[in-house]
Amino acid sequence: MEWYYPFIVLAKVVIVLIGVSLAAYINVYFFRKELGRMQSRMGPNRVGPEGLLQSLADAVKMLIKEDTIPADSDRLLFKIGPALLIIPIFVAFAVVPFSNDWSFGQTVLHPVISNTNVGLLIVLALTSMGVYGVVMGGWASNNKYGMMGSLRASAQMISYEVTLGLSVIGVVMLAHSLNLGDIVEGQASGTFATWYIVRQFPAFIIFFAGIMAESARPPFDLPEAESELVAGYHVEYSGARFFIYQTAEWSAMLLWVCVAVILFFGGWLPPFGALSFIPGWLWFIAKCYALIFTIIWVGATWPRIRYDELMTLNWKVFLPIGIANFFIVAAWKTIAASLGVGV
Amino acid sequence: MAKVPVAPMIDGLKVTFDNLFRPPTTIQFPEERRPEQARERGMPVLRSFPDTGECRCVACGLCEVVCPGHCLEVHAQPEGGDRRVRILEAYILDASHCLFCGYCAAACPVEAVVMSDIQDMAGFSRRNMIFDLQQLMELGRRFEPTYQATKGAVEFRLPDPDTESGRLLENKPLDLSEGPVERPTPVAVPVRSKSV
Ligand code: SF4
Ligand code: SF4
Repeated sequence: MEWYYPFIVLAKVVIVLIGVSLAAYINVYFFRKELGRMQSRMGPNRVGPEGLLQSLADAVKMLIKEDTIPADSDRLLFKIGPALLIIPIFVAFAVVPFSNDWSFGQTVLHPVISNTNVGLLIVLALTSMGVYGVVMGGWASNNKYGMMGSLRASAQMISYEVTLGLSVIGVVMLAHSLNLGDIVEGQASGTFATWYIVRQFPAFIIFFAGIMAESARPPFDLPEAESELVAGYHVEYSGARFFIYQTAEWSAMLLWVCVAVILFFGGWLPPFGALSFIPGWLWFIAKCYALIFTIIWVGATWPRIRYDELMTLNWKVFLPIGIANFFIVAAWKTIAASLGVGV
Repeated sequence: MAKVPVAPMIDGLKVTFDNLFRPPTTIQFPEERRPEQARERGMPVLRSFPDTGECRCVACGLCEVVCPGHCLEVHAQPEGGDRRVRILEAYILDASHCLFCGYCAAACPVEAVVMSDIQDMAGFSRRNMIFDLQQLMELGRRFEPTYQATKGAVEFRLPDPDTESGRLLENKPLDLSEGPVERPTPVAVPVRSKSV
């Protein structure tokens, strides 16, 4: 190990931290603009050129606003709620590889902070921590809307985590690895035909619904349904703590989109071998934004589903499909192995 | 198993996707406006005689009486103690609670107070909303050409069955056969500076 190794890791951490925060703000702008245009509006266009600085202005506004704590709240839980939500999400970015390896002569740089062998498990474990932040925030606010929001959030997130975890098992079995980088390399063949979205399409649908439910995007935005719950679990939050909740939500969406691109869309691989002159990180970003576009698009179109429909969809539709998918992949692998065919 | 209406869901996605490439219907208000309609009215102003520059107002006080917002004040000074002769001394419009109803213009016997097209009246102080005689006359002088040009087209009076125009207005049959009125396309116009 070279002496400068810790510094490289430190530099990666800083870059990822800044990049993720920046991307969260770009996403907010992208979200508002796209939603606006889909609703025949302009979207933000006053602050800065084409409204590009709107997110920044909002961030500054939220940070300098008074941070109120309700009188009858549980002050300790109220304060640690936002931190409990955002820390696991930022930590989970440590295992996400953003590009293929860069080599500078002899030195090879992995664009991932920690190239661990259980990357996918770490992501799933850390993101399931996030629900504690949501529940604490809603409970500690001592507000009925916050309470309802956090109850819904906990039920929804825990339910969808089950199918989310189930849907990635097929991918893991096909890739023979939990390392996110290896999963991407397992899809490499020169074309998009070997991406796991093609081989694992039902699993992708479940995963996609799962990430929309996890990051509480419409039509699964029951935890913060504006028309019913005002803002759900963060209804009592203001100022910097509200800002942290918002950032956490957007970074959670970004994290899930990154993971979806890695698991199902071949990460940084180009769809055709002929397009491999475009650097991998550009492919990665392009795929991420295509997915984010889809999430916003779906959110702009479909109405919020009812709570019992949410649960029915998960437990009676997605769960059986996920289990069936799991057994089909397992059977297919066993048969292929006994025939001596590689999968 | 829940019934999922897949086809309408996909139709909806198409609609939103098409909207993405349609120009937004928003009009960026201060820079971009709809063309003004003939019936649009702004704040009341006072007209004056172009040759002498004197205000047309005869200080009869009718506008003050009819004003439902109580925002007009007409101060007349009797000349030489003769109480039958009234001379306008001060005329104050508190536009902060003017309704733009046009009753004052309708009541005025000499077409002194008329409804102008001035609508950009936002200000940072309530004091900005109070106009005195000189200001109203200056605004009236600026509005005079427009007033002359649109005089016939702009009808502020309520339908009065005793007059020819009132009868015309009241009995005018509504012609709905031509369908909805077409919206004029928005045009960019220079921002009017705050008057006075
Ligand atoms: S427009 Fe109506 S409210 Fe305004 S000054 Fe004239 S009478 Fe009064
Ligand atoms: S009604 Fe006309 S003439 Fe009479 S006071 Fe008002 S502005 Fe003057």
